[in-house]
Formats: sequence, C-alpha cells, structure tokens
Amino acid sequence: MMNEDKLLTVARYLEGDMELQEKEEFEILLQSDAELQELKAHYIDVHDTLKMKIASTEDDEQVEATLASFGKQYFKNEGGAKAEEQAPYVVSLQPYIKWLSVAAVLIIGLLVWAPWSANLYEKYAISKEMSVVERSDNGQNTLEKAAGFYNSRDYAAAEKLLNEVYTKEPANSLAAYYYGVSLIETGKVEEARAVLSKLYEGESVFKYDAAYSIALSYVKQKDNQQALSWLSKIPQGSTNYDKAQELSNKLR
Amino acid sequence: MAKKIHLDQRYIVGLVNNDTVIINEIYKRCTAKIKSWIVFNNGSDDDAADIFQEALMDVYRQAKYKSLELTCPFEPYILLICKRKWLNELKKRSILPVTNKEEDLLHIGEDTFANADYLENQEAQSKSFFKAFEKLGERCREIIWWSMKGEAQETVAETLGVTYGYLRKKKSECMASLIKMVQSDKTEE
Repeated sequence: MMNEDKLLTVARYLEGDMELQEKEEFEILLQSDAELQELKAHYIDVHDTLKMKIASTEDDEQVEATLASFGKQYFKNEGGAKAEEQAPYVVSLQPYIKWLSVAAVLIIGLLVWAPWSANLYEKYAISKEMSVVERSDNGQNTLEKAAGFYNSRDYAAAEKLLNEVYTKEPANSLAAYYYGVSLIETGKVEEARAVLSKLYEGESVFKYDAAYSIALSYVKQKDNQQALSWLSKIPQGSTNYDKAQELSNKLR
Repeated sequence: MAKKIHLDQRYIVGLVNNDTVIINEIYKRCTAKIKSWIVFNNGSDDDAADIFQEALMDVYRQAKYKSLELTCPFEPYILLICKRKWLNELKKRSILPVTNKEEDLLHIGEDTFANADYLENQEAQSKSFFKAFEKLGERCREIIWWSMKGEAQETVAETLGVTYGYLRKKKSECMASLIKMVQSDKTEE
C-alpha cells in the first residue's frame, strides 16, 4: 500500500537511514506532499511519546529523587512529628496517675540536672528515613541496600555501601548526605565533616541538612562554639531552622 | 491554535532543570492544598505526597520529551491533575470520594482544563503506544528500547551484535511497523 511505503520512507529519513542524495530528494518532496508532512509529524509524535515511557535517564532519576526528598520534607515531617509528640500523653496518663507526683518530682529534678545535655546529639539528630527511588542499574541497588541498613540504624553497614556509591558518584548528593551521617554515627567525625562540608558548599537539596549534621557532629564532641557557628548557617525557612534555633539556645 | 505561553512556564523549566529553589517553591505553594483535599477525600499524607510527585513527574516527562508549553497558571493546573489522579486511584480502590466533582474549585479556568486534558491524553497515548510496542517482535523491541534509552547507536549495535548500518535499517522498519499498528489501533477504536 502507498501509505506503507511512505511510512517507511519517513522512518528511514528520520532515523538517518538515507544517503545524502536520497535525503535531499526526500526533503524536496516533503515540501509539497501534505500527506508526507502529516506522517512525519505523526511519526515524531509517536516516537517521542513512546520515548517518554521508555527513556529513563539519570537526569530523570535525579528529578524524581529531588521530588521524593521534598515530598518527605513537606508532606511527612510535620504530621509525623506532631503525632509523635501527642501520642504518649493520650495513652500513658490513666494507669499511672498515682505515680504522677513521684514522676513529676523526678522530672523536675532531671530538668534541673539535665543529664541528657550530654546527649543533645541524639535528641536533635534528624530522624530522616533514607529513601531511594527505585532504579535498576547496579549502583542503585547498592543505594537501596544502603538505605535498608541506614533505616534500621546499622550505620556501619550503611557506611560501607555508601562509601562505594560515593566514591563512584561523588556528585550524588543523596549518597553523600547519608554517607556523611553514617560516618558521624560510626565515629568517623573528621571524614564525615569533609564529605558534608563539600555537600554544604554545593547547591543540592541536602545543603542545609549537611550544615545541620556538621553542627551536630560538633555537639557530639561538645565543641559548642563550632556547633553554633554551623547552626547559624541554616537560614530561616529551611526545614531544620526551628530545630537549629532551639539547639542554639541550649548551647549558648 | 497558537496560545500564549503562560509566565508560569518557569515552573516547568525549573522542574526540567531539577532546580531545587523552584521545586521548593512549587512544594511550598501547593502542599497544603493538595494534602487537605486528598485527606478530606479519604487519603493519607503519604497518598498526597505520592500523587503530587506522580503528577509532577508526568509534567516533567511531558516537558522534557515533548516540550510541554503551559498556557494556563501552574497552581490550578497541577491541583487539577492531582485531583483527577486521586479520583482514579479511589476508583481503583473502590472507595467513594467525598467530592466527586472537580469543578468544586470555581476559579479554575477553561485553559486549565484544556491543559490538564492534554496531559492526561498524552499519558493515555503513551500507554497505548507502549502496548503496541509490546506487540512487536523481540528484535524490534530490543532495538527500539535501547535506542530510546538514549544509548549511542554504535553502542546499541555492538550490544545487539549487529552492524551500525543494519541497526539503522532495522530501526526504521521496526518504527514503521509500530506506527502502522498505532494507526490501525486508532481506526479500530
């Protein structure tokens, strides 16, 4: 059929399967043949629409990762934190009422003594889950595995895997951030700071998370001066701002 | 009908460039509305986050691969897409929505509907083209698949163990039969 021949010619033209002379002849023909023009437009449309479904480049994955991380920040953090704050009161009050006064005294005592100020690090650590958008290549599988370890707080195992990914793709901000945090958790503070400050100097979603984590690493070592200086880098409006302010007040 | 591109095209550009400042702005502007609408309609915060991300990815792909041009404001556009997505999801889960009309937002303009329809239509098309693609022979599928993944033609040829010339020839043939299939699907409908 005529249509079929034309279709194949259009395909060969668009796929670069024509010699120069044939190509030029086709282009002249194209100018005057409306059906050919329509087929060409249709071909491009189908090609690109299908490509949209098939092509999945690193760029696409990076955008998806950015969205996932903002999604977490905007949709989940606030709600989750509130629920955690409120839940204990609802359940625990009734059966323990007679202990309440004792507890109150203890609590006040503890507040004055504040033994956990040594542990501000744990209190203010970001309890972010590492989430990896699904991908199929090998690097990603390592990331997924790392996320599993990280989320179950096996930081040593996570650090090992993240180290691999980070060495291979130093520009992967997700890997860099969680690698940095895992290093802090496993006590390799200096290395952690090197990774995180590089991240802070860049322009990724994790910029201020990195600053916050560096601050916490100083809290862990009781270097309040440095901690305060890093906390002050976190601008109003970013996710960790409130926490950073609160922590700064405690450290002063 | 050539319509003027809306100034909010900058959000689309930001999305394509993975610009975190702009993407942050998008989330800042839209999160509360999407969350409250989806939660009101039997969804959770997680559902809202997923639907929003899905909608943004659809827009992103459309912009990147098919140069989407927005001719309406971004916010009602993305909200409308999210609502339709969520209503579909509810249908899948056989839950009745509380609000089952999207027109409950009176200020949605006609252009916004047209833009959202277009995106939805494109998504449906990409699914149906993919179905046609799946009906092709294995060799054709391989060739189209790897070429569309953005691999260099030479690499694809090498991977598939064919010459570069053969690959080009075969790809044209495969694409032509795909398009023929798409055309006949259309006439059947």
